[in-house]
Amino acid sequence: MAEIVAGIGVPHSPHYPAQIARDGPEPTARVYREIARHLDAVQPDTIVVIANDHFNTFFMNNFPTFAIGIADTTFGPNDQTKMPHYDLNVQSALARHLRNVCIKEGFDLAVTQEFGIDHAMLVPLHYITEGVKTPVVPIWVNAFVAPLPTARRCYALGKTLRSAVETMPGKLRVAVLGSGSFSLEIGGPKINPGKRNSVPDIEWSKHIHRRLQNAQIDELVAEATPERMWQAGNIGGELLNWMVLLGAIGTHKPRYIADHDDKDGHAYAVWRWD
Amino acid sequence: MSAYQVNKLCHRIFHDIPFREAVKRDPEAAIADWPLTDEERKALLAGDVKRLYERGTHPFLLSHFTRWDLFGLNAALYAERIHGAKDPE
Repeated sequence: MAEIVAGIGVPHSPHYPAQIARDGPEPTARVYREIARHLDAVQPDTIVVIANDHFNTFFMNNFPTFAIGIADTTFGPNDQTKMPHYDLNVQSALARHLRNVCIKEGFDLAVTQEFGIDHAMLVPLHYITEGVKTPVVPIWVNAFVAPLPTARRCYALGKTLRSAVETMPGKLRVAVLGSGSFSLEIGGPKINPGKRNSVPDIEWSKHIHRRLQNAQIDELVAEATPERMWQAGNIGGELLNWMVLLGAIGTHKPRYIADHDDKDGHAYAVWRWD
Repeated sequence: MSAYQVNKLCHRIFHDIPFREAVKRDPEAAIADWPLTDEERKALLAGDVKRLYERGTHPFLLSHFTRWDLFGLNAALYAERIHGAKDPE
């Protein structure tokens, strides 16, 4: 049967490629490289990528709470992010299996069979995989248009995904990547003067970082209420992508976690058990 | 106003570059055919992002305007105007 061999949590700013081209690899590209090293070591056959769409794959005319992409290929970025264009393979057999099991278990995932992916998936993949050649299974979580799914529901979805992977015939080695910010406001009343964004709640981000370090996941699930996430900014719901990841990998301390980024409130972590 | 059409307009501006350029050239003409309420049209043309936000325009979409200085908005002016806006219900 297939197995989950690693979990990875990272941020996904669309500005990283331009920023790294301008300022050099420190610190962002260096930390992504550290993540890439761990991912190489576990040799995944496929990566289940959990992120929120930013009105690039979906729009409000049809905005799913949870969706999965089932196709042979995809492409991106589809949002004008300044980075290389990639055509990617999708592990469609696994994607179909995950959807079937999730629906049987009470998670009615929406499906798209023709789609591009935005920076939230492609910026991390660009930095942590060589040439983005590893086939992916994209899963989208609505972290963006209220009302968001609850942290508890996202965590439970992750657990269901794990049991679904474990009933997938074959020897697939699966890595799970969840990406997002913990505290970020874009375009709302909490932005900084003269800027398009801000980090309104660095303490919340530090707190989450400590919870991850100590594997206090049940506590984090209970704390991550809609009000708490919103207080951390209108993009604070991206923590939900991590919640799915945490459900999928089970409760472990991370093998690697970068020091907390006190400026942007980002976390980079790897879970392995080999 | 439901703000759906305003959100749709912002989305189109982001993804449809010729349309974006038309909005930049002549905002009033570019949105003339859009089914907006008078209040929405007026708020857009005045760059009144506080009102647009309070009536439900998604801030991620709304803030795209400052990338291309649309509706008279640059980042500084946008931040000044959005400050103190109440969250939509």
